Amino acid sequence: MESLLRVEDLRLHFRTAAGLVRAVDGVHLEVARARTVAVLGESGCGKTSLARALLRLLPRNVAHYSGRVVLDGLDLLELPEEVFRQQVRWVRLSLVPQAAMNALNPVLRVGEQVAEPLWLHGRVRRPQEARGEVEAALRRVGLPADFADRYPFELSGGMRQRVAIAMALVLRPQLVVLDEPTSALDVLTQANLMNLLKTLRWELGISFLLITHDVATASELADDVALMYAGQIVEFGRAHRFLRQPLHPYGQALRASVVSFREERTPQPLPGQPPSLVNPPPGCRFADRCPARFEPCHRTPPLVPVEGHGRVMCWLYAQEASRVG
Amino acid sequence: MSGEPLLVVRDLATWYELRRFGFLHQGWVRATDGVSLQVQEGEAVAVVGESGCGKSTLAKTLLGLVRPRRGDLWFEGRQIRTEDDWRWYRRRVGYVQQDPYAALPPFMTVRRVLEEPLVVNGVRSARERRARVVEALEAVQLVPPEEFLTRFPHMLSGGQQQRLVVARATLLNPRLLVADEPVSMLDASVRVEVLQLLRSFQQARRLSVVYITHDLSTVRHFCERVLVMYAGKVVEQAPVADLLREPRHPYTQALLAAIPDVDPNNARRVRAVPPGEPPSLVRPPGGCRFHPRCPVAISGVCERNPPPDFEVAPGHVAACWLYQAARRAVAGVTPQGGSLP
Repeated sequence: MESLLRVEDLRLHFRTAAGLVRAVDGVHLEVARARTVAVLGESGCGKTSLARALLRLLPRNVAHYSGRVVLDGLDLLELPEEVFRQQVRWVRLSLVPQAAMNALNPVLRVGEQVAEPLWLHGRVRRPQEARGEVEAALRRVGLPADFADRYPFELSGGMRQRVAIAMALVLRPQLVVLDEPTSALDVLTQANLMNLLKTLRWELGISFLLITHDVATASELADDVALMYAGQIVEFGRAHRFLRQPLHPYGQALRASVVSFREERTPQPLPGQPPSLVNPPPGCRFADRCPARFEPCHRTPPLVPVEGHGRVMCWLYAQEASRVG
Repeated sequence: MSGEPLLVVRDLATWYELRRFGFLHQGWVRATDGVSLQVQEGEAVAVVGESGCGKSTLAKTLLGLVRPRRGDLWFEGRQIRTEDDWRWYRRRVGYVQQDPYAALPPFMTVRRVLEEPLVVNGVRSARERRARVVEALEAVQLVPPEEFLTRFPHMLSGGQQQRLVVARATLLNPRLLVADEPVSMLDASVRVEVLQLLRSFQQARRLSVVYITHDLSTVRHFCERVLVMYAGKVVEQAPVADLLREPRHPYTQALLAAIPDVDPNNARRVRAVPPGEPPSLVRPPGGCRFHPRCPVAISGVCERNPPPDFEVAPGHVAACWLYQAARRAVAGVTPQGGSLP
């Protein structure tokens, strides 16, 4: 399958008073055209830093930023900042930030904010000229066109989230990063929004990178799942396989912790805590919490390819592979 | 004592006044508007609903933090009316807050957080206080306690913070625990742990729990009974298993249908979700408050008359006109909008 985005050995480290934080530490992943990859992991595993690294929205305390990010043939880390701003950010790759409904400017009308990317990227000379496109963008996310004249406080949380999605789509990017798009919303609003994202994906042929901590949310949209733990992707593969039977012991534990009212099984808590990203343990970072830990786990596990699925970073499968081979 | 409920609430209404310029009356936000419920000793009751349905206001009223405008409340058979009653009642109720980080003073060590309620409630002996603090930490598995006593809240993980909040809420041996969204701020992997902790307290100490949540999926394993709220009213209540197997109210049905399971096929289908959003609590719709969004609303009935509670099965009550023909209305609860034509 042709990949739209290819990320190789991406690293983003921050300098803090506590030491070097390895938020993104050697991430590999691919997003194919018109497919959705869910980045799944607990808080503090580096999911949001990964989004920032892709969009080059970096804070000042970056200590180390390296790797290769290729989007549609363009090597993003090589581009000068101004070229990246003009040709990539929001044009090919946009972001719906976490708690986006609170990210809108309270003193500007919704329409003015949706028009801003069009104006900044020179599609219109003045924001006022973008009216037609703004109305189309709002209708695309299921909002009435006259909402352009409203202020954010006049909208509910779900509607504001739709506005944030409209802003991310207004320049028709190929890939949209959705950072926890539904986590602060009500159940019915979440379901409505997921319906919207599914339809947008079918209609526009767009790719999503969905960042979430919730396995059930991931299942709503994902074609592929990238399981993230302590700054690394420890399993990457087809969603239908991952959601039924994850390979990595962390994926299995996370799956078992899911609470569902339809399943008889009692959910199992995941004991322990993720390691600090300041001084991650050597070897496998999940080893301390892993029920299947064995002798080689103190060394860094290899990325083992798995037929018909993807790859997993775990010695269990490396052993099997070598025994079979 | 068995059989007599620990807490009885009848027709409780808590309204907030809307004022312009701080004094001109503008109207009322009817956050809870006629809620009745009972909690047995040692029972966990979940109150489920979306934001703005009044569930947090119900929690605050049950905690004595806001006073109801109307309605009656009995606790251990005593009616709570005067301020003295409320003071007596509040000592017997514990509160588990939603956001543990905001609920713990950042400048207090774990030891002080837990010692404070003991000091306030007159435990004079420092040795006894320390013993009870250590005991409370052990009960919530913050062990070894010595290691935690001198820590500050920011030095604990989210799950540990919430366990500290539970320790504080149960320190004075309350009879009732009100937990307002106790796990919504926590990571999915930690949620189960905190809910299991609450469950173990409830069962080991015969503690009653009112568990306020928007998340129906956590209810199954941690509660006996569920109340579903919509726009300030309880629309359905039932034993957990009954409600999940056979939801009767169209709102409950929609709520259940909207919750995703971990199923890879989810990505390929669109869910049926009622359109629109919950109504304003200042001017709620007449008749059944769900009728503007209801897929099976009966024209000429649902928009005119507020539905009474119908008992659709033993212990299973739905406030919906669909069940009028089949069942009798629960005695003592009559619609305010007159009878059906």
